Amino acid sequence: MLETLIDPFSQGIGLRALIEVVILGAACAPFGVWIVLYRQSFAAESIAHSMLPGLVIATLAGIPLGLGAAAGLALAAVLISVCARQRAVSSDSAIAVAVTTLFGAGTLLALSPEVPVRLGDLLFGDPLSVSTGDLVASGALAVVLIAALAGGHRALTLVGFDEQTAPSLGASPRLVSLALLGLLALTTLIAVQALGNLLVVAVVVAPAAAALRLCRRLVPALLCAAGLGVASGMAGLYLSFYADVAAGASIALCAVAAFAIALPFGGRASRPEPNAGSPVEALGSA
Amino acid sequence: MSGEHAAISVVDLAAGYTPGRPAISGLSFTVEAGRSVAVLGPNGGGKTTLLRALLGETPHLSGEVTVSSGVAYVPQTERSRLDFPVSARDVVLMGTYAGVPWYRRIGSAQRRAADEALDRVGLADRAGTRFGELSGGQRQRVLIARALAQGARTLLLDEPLSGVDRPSGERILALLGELRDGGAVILVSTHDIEQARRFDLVLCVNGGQIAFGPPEVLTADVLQRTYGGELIVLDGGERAVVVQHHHH
Repeated sequence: MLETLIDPFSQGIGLRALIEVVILGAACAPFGVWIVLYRQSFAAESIAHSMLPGLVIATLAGIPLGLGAAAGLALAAVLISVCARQRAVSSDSAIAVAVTTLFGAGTLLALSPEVPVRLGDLLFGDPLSVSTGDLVASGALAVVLIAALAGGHRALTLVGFDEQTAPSLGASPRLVSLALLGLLALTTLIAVQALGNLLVVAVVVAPAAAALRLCRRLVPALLCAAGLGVASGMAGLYLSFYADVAAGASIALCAVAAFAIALPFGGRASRPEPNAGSPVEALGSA
Repeated sequence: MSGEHAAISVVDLAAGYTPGRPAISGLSFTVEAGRSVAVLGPNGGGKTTLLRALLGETPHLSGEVTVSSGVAYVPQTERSRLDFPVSARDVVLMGTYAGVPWYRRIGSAQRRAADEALDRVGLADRAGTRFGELSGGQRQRVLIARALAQGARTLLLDEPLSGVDRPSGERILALLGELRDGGAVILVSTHDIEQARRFDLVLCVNGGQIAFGPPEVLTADVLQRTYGGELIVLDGGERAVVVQHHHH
């Protein structure tokens, strides 16, 4: 039994993969709780996908993937703001159009014969191929994320609960949203190398969404998300080792399975009953 | 009323969100401590803009606004996220955040202040209940408790009785009365004429200041000018009905 548990990690490759998924799960999933609460899951998806052309060009040009991804993100931001300025287009349509365009361009580039890596590696990642440098980057990301979540906990709570009243209670909604998007971009940039372009969102969002169904308070939800993030990462590695399937996809599947299991537990409050508004609002007698 | 010891003093205020186009203008009034004020006006008449100006949150403002220290804003409960994973006590604790540096933990002093505030609004037994699971009236009282935990002596409430059933509304009005008797300034925005009559002072606002004074200022003429076409006067001025236009 013990051997079954230890075997996948007995070699350097497996051990590095284990450290990577534990670090990313413990840091990304609590961050994901705020992404879910701020309804930014779509933005997370968009940011990841719009990085693809940057990643492909980086591999073609032989420059670090992170640099290419950052350039891809900058391009996406410009494209989205240009699309959003067209009055006829709603902002989510603008994002969808910009992101799909970039994703399509990335796929076309990746299918060209000059690309040294397979498209699959970029889309689905491979935790089993992480280098020591990737581990250091993930460790640094985890430190930054956890410090930001701890230091910004009250501001995140105030703005998330009621954006309009937050300034009078000492938090700036603009600063908080900006910080959240910045951290999201940084997280995607680093995690995409191990987990791939399509799967990084699953690891950020799925354990968080599961934790929010299971827990009724913020701090327990954040801790629960971290636990689920680590657990689904490890479960994915076991699945990959024993079923001989791709590690990145296995991790994403386990994260989504955690959400599916949590779904019946209705942790989140039901929608408030709508106020029945009568056209005659006030009756007064003089 | 002397302006010297006023808790709120407003002189020729104009405020809004677009430069050169104030949502309200020409407002001048003073309120002393221990008084309650109803700000009466139609939707879109500038009631919320006035509250924001008193908080110093409107980007464009001219004239003079002085609010003695310790002012808190109590929003409508629908503005907050009801699916947010926080208890009633968590929400009240938010009122203490600004007084604690970000690197310090929320300690027992803050928790005590929150529990006292919850007790004052009569919700000590619901401290652990999730905010979204409370009734509309209870949520409004929790938000009032948050303002008390802020240490505020001036409370600005935005339509605190909208979407609240009548008994809960009465309970909130009684609570506001107690706070006023304790020396606090209560300023409530409302579009309900009957409610407005129950406050010490009434300020009628529709773009500008229509009237300010005790409830007796609410004459048929003042109401007509406050509500314009939205007001229907019945029984020869004995009763007035406001017909709200719904904006989409």
